Amino acid sequence: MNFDDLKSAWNKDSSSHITIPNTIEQLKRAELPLDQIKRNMKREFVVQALSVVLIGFIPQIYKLKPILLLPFSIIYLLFVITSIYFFARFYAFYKRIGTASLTAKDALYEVNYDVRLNMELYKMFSYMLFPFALLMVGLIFVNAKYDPFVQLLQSGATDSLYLYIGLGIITIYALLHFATIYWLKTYYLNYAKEIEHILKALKEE
Amino acid sequence: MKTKENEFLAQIELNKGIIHKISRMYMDDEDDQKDLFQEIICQLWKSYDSFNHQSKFSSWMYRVALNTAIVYFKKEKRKDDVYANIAQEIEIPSDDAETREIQLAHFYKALQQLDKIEKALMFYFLEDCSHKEIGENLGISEGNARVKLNRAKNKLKELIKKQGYEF
Repeated sequence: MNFDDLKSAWNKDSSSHITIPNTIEQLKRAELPLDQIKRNMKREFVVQALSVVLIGFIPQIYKLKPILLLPFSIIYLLFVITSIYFFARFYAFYKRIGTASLTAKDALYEVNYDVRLNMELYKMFSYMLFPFALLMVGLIFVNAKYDPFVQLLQSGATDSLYLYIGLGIITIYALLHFATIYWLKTYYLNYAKEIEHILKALKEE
Repeated sequence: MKTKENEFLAQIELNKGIIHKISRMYMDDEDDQKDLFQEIICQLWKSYDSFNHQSKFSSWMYRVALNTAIVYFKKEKRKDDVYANIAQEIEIPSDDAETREIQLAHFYKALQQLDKIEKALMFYFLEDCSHKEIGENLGISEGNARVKLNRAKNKLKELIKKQGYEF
C-alpha cells in the first residue's frame, strides 16, 4: 500500500449504509465540554437566584430584632448588587461561547480563553460571596444570642472573641479556597490543559 | 424554520460520508463514533447561520466538523480496542473492495496513535487539500502545514508497517 492507494480507498469508501436523523430533535447529543459548562451554568444560576430570594426572607424566618434590620438590609443590598453583577458577567459569557467555524487554531484559542475566563469568574464569585455568607451567619448568631453577646461587648473581654472570629474566618477562607480549586480542577482544569496541549501541536516549526 | 432545517439535512445527507470518516478517524470505539457523528451534526446546525452560501458547504463543513472532533473528548468508560483483531483478520483479499477495506482498517487503526492535529492534517491530505488550504483551515502557515503533514505521514507509515502491513 502507498498513499495513492490509501487516497483511492478513502475516496471509494461508501457512505450508503450511514443514516442521518430526519429531524434535528432526533439527535442524541453527547455534548462538548463547553456545552456541559453551559448546562452547569444554567443549573447554578437557578440555585443562585433561589438563594438570593430565600436570603431576603431571613428577617421573617429568624425573627430578626429591629436593631439588626438595618445591618441586614445593607448586607443584603450589597449581596444582591454583587450577585447581579456576576449574573450579568456569566450571562455575557454564556451567550458568547460556542463558535465552531473559525480556523482550528482560533477556535482552540477561543475555547481555551472561555474555559479560563469562566474558571476565574467562578473563583472570584466564590470569594466575593463568602463575606456576605459570613456576615449573614454572624447576624443570625447575634440575633439568637443577642443578650449574652451585648453583655460580652460591654464587659470589654472581647480579645478572645476577636481571636476566634479571626481564626474562624481564616480557616473557612482556606477551606473555601481549596474546595473551589478542587471543584474547578475536577470540572475545568483537565479540559483546559488538554486544549493547551493541542494548541502546542499547532506551533510554528 | 422547517425549510432551513430541511435544506440543512439535505446537505448533511449529501456529505454524511465525510462526517462518518471524521468520526471514525477521531474515535476508535463504535459507540463513541456514533456520539461524535451526532455531535458534529449538532454543531453544524448550531453554526449553520455562519455558513456563507456563496462558498462550498463541504469546505465550511470540514472546519466545523474537525473543530468539533478536536475539542471532543470520548467517554471514559469505553476502553475496548475495536481494531485489536485487524492483524488476525488479514487474509489474501479476494477482490478490490476487500483490499480497500483492509487498507482502510489498517489506516484507521494506525491513526488512533496520532494526535488530534495530525489526524486533521491527514484528513485534509486525503481530501486533496493543498498545503495552503490546510494552513488556512488550521490557522497555521503553509510551510508549517507542509512540515507537520510530512511528519504525520511518516509516522502513519511507520505505524502501518508495525502492524505487519507493507507500506
